[in-house]
Amino acid sequence: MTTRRELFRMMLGLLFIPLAGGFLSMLPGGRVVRPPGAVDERLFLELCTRCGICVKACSSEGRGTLEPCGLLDGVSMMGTPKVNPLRAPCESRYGMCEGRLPCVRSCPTGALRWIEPEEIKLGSVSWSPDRCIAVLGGECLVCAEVCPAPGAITPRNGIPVFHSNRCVGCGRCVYACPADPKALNLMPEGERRHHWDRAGFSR
Amino acid sequence: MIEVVKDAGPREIIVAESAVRGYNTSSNFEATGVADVVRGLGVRLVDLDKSSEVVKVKTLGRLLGEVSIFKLAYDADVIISVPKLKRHSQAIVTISMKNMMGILPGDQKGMFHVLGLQQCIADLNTVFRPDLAIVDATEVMTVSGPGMGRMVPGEAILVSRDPVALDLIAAEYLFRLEGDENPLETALNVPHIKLAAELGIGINDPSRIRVVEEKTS
Repeated sequence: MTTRRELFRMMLGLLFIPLAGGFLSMLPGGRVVRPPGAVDERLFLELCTRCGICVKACSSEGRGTLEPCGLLDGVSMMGTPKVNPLRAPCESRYGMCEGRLPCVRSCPTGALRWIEPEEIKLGSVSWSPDRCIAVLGGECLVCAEVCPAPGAITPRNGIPVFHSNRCVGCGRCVYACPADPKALNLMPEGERRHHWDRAGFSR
Repeated sequence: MIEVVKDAGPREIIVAESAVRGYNTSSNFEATGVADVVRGLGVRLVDLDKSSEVVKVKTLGRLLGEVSIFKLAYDADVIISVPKLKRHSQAIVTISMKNMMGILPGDQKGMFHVLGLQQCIADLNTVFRPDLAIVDATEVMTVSGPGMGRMVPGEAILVSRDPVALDLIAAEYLFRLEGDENPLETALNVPHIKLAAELGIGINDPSRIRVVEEKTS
């Protein structure tokens, strides 16, 4: 039997859940790489309902690079989609999803909006030379080999040189990098997002 | 080519490949036209990246002790390596021996680069040496391969049962097309061809290789 006192305590506890939730969601989230055609981050977090439909569309019709953000990405981000190049590269700009974008087309809320293939830039890759096999004296230029973006990775004397302005952020190089831990990481730096103002959406 | 192999009466012909890590082998089959060619020929087209059966094998090489390869390739009685001739930034050339990396799962391909690509290619071929190699040099990727290389027309198809000799002759052909832009003076200097010859996989002595040319119209 629940006594009246216990019941009262439970009620009090329940009151705190939305309060705590509200507080935690104010904590800043980490920076993640969003799917193609995402609106700017503030609006994105408002529009995205964490339904996970884009993630499912990506795994069934795309390469399966999308996954929901977890607790470590920040409470406010939990459940929103992110590109994880360790799962698979994103083929929205080059590859099977070019001009198709299952993630964008499945988004029911407009958090992801249509974007032309040549405008897609998810971010850029960051390089840790201290882990790079080529820098450490190995025969490796796998990143340059798999890179589909012209001029984004150019080898010089057997060492890759990264040009972030040419990088589209597909994550192929991160996925293929044989170093352990990986010498490459996909970052949202330079990402192209839809911006909203009174005139409507622009990029 | 498949028609010729069919005449030999094999139990089954399998066309299999595993693409560079991060690329979809199945869509590559479509894009390159391989899928169209084999359709209706009664041949099994296999995207090895979709299979999970892998066998560990000890090599007879110097650097690569053990290597995991797809079981399908392990079970094959005869392996025919059918590369296109191209430049490769690290391996120098991609011909019949480098092409054998198509039987490796992605993580193993990566390991080759970590350990040392040239020696690993030679080591892999000590246990998985193509029984026959056919190089398509009707269009050749020169300079800055394997991606975004400069395509030039070639006019040769090279065939041999000795992958080392074949790779040497084919590499020489590629170097000639590149002219001044090739990094090595002679194909004898391509490390994995030299290393493969040292391991007894084939012959790299030009005086012992007989090149028979046959003109087609």
